[in-house]
Amino acid sequence: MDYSELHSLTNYSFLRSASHPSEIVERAHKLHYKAIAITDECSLAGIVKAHVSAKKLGIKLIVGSEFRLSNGIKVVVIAPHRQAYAELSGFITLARRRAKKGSYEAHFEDLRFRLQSCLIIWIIEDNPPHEAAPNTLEPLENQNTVAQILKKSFKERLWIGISHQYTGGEQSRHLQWQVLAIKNKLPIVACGSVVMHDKSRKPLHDTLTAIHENTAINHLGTKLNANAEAYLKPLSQIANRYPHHLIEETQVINNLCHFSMDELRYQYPQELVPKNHTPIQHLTRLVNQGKLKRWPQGTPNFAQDIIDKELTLIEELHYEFYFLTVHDIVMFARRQNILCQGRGSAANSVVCYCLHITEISPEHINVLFERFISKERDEPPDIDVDFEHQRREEVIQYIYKKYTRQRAALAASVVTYRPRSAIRDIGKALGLEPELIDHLAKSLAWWDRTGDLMKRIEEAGLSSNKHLLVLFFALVEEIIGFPRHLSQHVGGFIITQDKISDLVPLENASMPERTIIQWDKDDLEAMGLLKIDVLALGMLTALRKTLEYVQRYDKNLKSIADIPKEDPKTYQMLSRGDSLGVFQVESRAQMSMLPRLKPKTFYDLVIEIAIVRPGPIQGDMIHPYLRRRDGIEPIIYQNDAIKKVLEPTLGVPIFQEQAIRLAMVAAGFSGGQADQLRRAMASWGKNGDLLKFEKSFTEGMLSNGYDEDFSQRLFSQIKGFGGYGFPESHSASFALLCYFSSWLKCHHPAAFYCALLNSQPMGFYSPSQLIQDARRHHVKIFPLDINQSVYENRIEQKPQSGDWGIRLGFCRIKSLRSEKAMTLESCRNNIPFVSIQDLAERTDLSQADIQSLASADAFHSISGHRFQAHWQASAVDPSDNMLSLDLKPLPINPPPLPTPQKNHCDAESINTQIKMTHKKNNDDDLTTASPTLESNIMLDFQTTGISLRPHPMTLLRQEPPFKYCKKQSELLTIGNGRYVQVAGLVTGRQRPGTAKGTLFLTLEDETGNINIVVWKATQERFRNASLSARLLSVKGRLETKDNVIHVIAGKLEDHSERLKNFSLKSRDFH
Amino acid sequence: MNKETIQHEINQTKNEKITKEKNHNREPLWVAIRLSHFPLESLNVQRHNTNIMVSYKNHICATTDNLHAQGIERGTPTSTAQLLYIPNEESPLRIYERECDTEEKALSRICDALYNITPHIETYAVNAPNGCEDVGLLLEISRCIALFKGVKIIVGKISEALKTLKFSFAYALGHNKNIAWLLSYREKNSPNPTQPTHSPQHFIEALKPLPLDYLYEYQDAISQLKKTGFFCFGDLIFHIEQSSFHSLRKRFGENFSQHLSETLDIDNCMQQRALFKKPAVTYKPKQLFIESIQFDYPISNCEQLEHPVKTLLTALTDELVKNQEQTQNVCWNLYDIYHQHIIFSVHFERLHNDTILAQELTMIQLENQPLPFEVDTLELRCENVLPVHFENRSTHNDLHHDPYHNLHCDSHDEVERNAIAIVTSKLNARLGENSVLTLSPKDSHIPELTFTKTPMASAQNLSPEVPSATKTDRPSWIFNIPIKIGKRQNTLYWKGNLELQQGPERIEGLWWKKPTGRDYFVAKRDDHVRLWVFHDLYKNAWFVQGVFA
Repeated sequence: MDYSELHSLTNYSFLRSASHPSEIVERAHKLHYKAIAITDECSLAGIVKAHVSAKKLGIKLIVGSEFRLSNGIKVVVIAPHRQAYAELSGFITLARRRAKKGSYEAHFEDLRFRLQSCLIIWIIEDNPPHEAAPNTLEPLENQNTVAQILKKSFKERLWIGISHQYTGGEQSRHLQWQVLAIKNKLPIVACGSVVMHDKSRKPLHDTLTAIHENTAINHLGTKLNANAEAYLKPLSQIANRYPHHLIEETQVINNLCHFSMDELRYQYPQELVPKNHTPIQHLTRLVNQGKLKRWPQGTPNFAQDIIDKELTLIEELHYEFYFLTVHDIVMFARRQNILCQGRGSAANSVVCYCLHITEISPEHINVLFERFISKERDEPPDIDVDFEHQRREEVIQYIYKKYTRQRAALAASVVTYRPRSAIRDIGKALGLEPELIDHLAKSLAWWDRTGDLMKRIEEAGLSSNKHLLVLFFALVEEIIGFPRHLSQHVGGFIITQDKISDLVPLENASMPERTIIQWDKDDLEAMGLLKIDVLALGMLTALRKTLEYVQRYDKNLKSIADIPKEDPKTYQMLSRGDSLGVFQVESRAQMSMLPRLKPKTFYDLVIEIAIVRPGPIQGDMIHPYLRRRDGIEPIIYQNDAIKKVLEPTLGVPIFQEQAIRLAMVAAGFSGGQADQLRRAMASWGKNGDLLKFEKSFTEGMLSNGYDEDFSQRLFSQIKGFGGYGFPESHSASFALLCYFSSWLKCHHPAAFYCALLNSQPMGFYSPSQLIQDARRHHVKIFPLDINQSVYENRIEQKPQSGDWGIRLGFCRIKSLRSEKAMTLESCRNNIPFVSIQDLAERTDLSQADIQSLASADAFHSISGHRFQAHWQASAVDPSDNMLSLDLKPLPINPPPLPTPQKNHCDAESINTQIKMTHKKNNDDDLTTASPTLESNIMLDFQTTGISLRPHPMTLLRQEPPFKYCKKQSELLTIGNGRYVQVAGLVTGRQRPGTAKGTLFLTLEDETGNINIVVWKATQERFRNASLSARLLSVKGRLETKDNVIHVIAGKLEDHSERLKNFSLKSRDFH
Repeated sequence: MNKETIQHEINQTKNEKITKEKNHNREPLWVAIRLSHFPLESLNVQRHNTNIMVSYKNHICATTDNLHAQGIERGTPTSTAQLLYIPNEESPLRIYERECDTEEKALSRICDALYNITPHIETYAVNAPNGCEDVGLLLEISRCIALFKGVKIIVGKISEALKTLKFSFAYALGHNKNIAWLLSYREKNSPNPTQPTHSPQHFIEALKPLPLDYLYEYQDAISQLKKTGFFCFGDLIFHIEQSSFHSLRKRFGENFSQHLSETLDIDNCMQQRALFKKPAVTYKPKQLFIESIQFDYPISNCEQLEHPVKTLLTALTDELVKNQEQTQNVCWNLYDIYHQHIIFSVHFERLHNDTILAQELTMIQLENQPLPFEVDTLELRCENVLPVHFENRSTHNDLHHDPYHNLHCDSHDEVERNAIAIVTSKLNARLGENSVLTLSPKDSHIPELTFTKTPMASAQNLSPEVPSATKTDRPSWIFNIPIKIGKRQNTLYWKGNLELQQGPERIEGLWWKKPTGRDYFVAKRDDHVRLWVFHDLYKNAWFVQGVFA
């Protein structure tokens, strides 16, 4: 008996099905179905995953979709051929685009007119949901009318789908439908209405229903399926349930379906190629133009060879348009002076380098083109381009404008259940107490990643039904990875020659005016569709801004290309671990590594970036590399081939490319095989694919004359950093930005820190920490001033020395609306404000805005201390001039904005004037004392998040226990292993996955940052202090090596109450 | 208003008040009682118990002292509190949900107790910034100082009453309620509130060191004040003395300045507020209906009680009609001369205020329980009354002359429903509480769970759950517990041989409680009775679930 299931939903019909697409397909294959149709509700989101699975297993996949029409009837639409697929995709797009995100609106008329070649199965329901079917056509006489209309519309393309689910009264109803079918000459087909591949998923399906209904499962009653019959059944059961002709009819439909997802052919946008040119000619021309710029003295032979090889392969694989499209976008950004840089595997392409997509020259790294494009792999290349994060939107708008919304859309990103969301949703569905759910969700994320939650529940004094908790954990495990909804990819664009909706349905994103396709990046990769990643990078914004600021006093530094290469001072700075704010090497781990690695060349930076990663750490590659670098350990190569691969990294494999090359040179892998190995490495941990290569790898090495021990060791190293290894090309792209940012920090610190502050949010550190660091680098920070500041922070020359410092901008004031803050400068119009009332009259600021300025101490030059300013501000009525102070009118030709030197005198005269005015109104005088230093610091932090006054630790230092604590600056003088007591504000908490539960705290005192290591046992003993303290004192042992200092905590004490009013927050990276 | 004027005003007020105190000591004097562990103690949990906290909207609103010592504060998110809790095997942590109804009742209890001291009692609740509510009482005691011979004794009595009721509290005196409430937040080192001086100056002086944060209702103004350097009441008082009150009003709003002027007794803007002061609120304890009849001779049989019962019920009905109230319960107490007593209650299925049905139901109950002693006193108590709904209001005459007045309703269904209600009420009276049950429909696939049995008095009966529409045919008689059936000669047998006719209908579910899997069939017995039987997939056994009509 042959049977094809024509109606099955996957979990991409969100919260309606309890099985992944691959599970449905695999099960259908196992049960020897002839074909399986995936018919998700108004969606093709799961179809690619099903296609990949079906292709792998060799079972026929039928593409379709289920719709609940606005008149209440339910249909399954099946695409028998390519044209029908385009119709179906277009119909889904139409239904989705006219409704808000996550829903759809499909009308019968659209179905009738738009689906001219699709097959329609009219699904008979026992109990259609009332809310979904306002016009449900009951009783049977009405169904007869519907049957007639449908028959008239779809003629021979229409079936009635009947599902035998053992529900009450099913047999008699089926009899009635048979009568109707005969009367209207409609064929009936067996349809399983499958929502799970196996009936064991019934609990999960019920739970999903409860999540969908947003209620506890025991309140759902008959909203739950009556039984677990909506699964893929063995053929014997099918034969028992359905009359033979209904089963045969599934084969009639199956035989009509010839469409395969493989037929989808992606067509690149072709308008970029001028007439009378072939794409490769045009690309070659652009590459030639580019290489003249890259190598004005002439292209090196080895580079020319690579270019030729690449162009040949690009032509052969028809990727010219892809390169041209990316080139076009990058050129647009460059024309607009938007900094951008390609990264990732594209940096392995010399063509990309010549097209100015990437900046890594083949001289910098050992390019491995196979890593980028492989003929054997036959997968599209992936070019990721970073743009300035504050200006990426301009690039996106350019793409929309040039290719239109019909041809350009963002890829989807599938939001799946993670442990925390799973716990919350399942807990709610099972009716667990909200406190228990909250507790479980929080403890899982922070403390108990692998711990025994049952024990924790008991410890927390929560009692719950044990049976229910066992079910709860089982369901949480099952649901993790289930798709929850579609979201917008960070920047992956699909651009096509024709309408995208012919290829894949589009739907609305949550952002207005944004559309996304229903496939995510894995689907696109599987389907061979080219995605262009338009990504955002904060450091590019910071670099562009730094250059702009430097231009004010150094006209020679126009672009990053003007930055001198291999500057020793820059490397010296980095070797000291002085890298706060620098791209990629500012984390605590990187800062600790820099003094040990002591970079002296660009390639050292490439290694530095790649080596402080979970892969090399877990693969134990750091210490051998450092020992060899320091000459402590000899470097031995088995032969020249291996030497060639591993020489740059002193015989230790650090980059993914090296693993691929080793596989090629030592184990005899082809480029494609080696790339498969790389992919297996990337997914190591998620599946066991990597182990499949172990045999071929060791055998290959043995046959090439290597001994078994060496081959095993090498493979275990590859395994060690699998999943977290870093490609050299990627690291090199990052190293370039790292070098540029380091150089700017070293030589133009004021401009650099100012740009970092103006590019927030980015990086590891808060503005306050950046300012502390800037001051440690002798950068003068000028306070906010109503007559000096502008919206953004800006560089300003110190009056005496002429050095450049940073003037804080109005953007720092948290409660001041940005649109108001931006207008302040233009309202000031080079005429200083003489009083708060003057400000109120000359601007359209509300009283709340003025009070925000006063709270931030922006009026210190015209109103005295901030209490005084706030007092005056709170009396100001911007709309009422009656209250204005009796100040002399402004001159008609106002003087220019006072220079800092003059300003002091002017402020003084203004203050005198104000004081005199106040004398007249002494019943309105403020009687409170001026703010103390502590309260000023507190208010600085509250209003702007930073304070230029003494560090809070300076104030606390005079009191016990802080006066017994060592400062950060004193730690270097204390020997390794000595007892030490330190204290500081907690500015960072990190608990990296590789650290086996160790917590890394960063304490900030008035002299710098102190690194604290808290082992797991210590954390347990001082749980509260390590979890929530804002001010800590730590007693422990000092660990000093290569100028890297850590305090190994033994005892922690929380002194947060001493900071009662400081609004300081740590940055926690869990 | 300048400094001199304010100073003058304050001095003047001071002098006037001293004179008044000397005269009659009738200047208002308030006691504020802040119930510091109210959400906990209203649940009958004492603060010295271990490991108990009360949660409200996922935040802690009260804890026992030992949890407080572990760093669990009011306002802490419940989940954080759980993390902070140090596990104790002997006494596990218990988290209770806050119960507003219970709190309301507890507050009434306290008011009732304090009513013996003064009738001028106001309840007060204010939301603190940590999301919790500070609850307390404000008592005006000036009028009863003479009665109790001094403030100290009054305060002692208040303490005694609250200790008896097991409520922790902080209290303070003040010449107005605002200041009394604020002073209740003072730390222990503050002056003894029971000392004889109760002058406004004394209270204002005591207020000076108190932070402004306790003016919870004026958070915005407080935040603004702090930004200008005002942190405690002393700063404000100093400012008013040195500068002007007007400058504060101009900046921080009319409401705030009004409150401040009331607190500090500043009669700004010549409002002569003292003349228009609201009189102190008088607390009205909940009025219970308690009436009794003492007999001239002992009553030994129920029949003799019929007339007194009627008299008392008529009195109750008059009271209910007067107050536009109705009741569903009355309670009878029968006493003999030796103070033995029996008690029984009468429950009506529907809310009633007619005498005749209540009398009938009372007599039915009396018939059921012969008098154990000779009755000397008959007492009727009615504690639970509800306001009459507009549509249910009936005239007094109707009630008296037409005991079954509802029978005049237009709708036949309504008439039938009322008749059933009366019968069930009578049955309930005759058979006793919880003997008459009603069926409420419930939405479930499992047949025996499609209804619940609830006592007639249960609130659920008033709003039965509406089952979702189902198209499947179900037998009219469904067994509460399915009956296991056996086989005879390989045929299902239950009071006759069964023949399966239709099915199966498969029902699976309830996996979270008691996994259930059944295949249902319609079976015909050899006597032509149609039964609903099922095969239990877990137990591999057959059961009969119901009988078709």
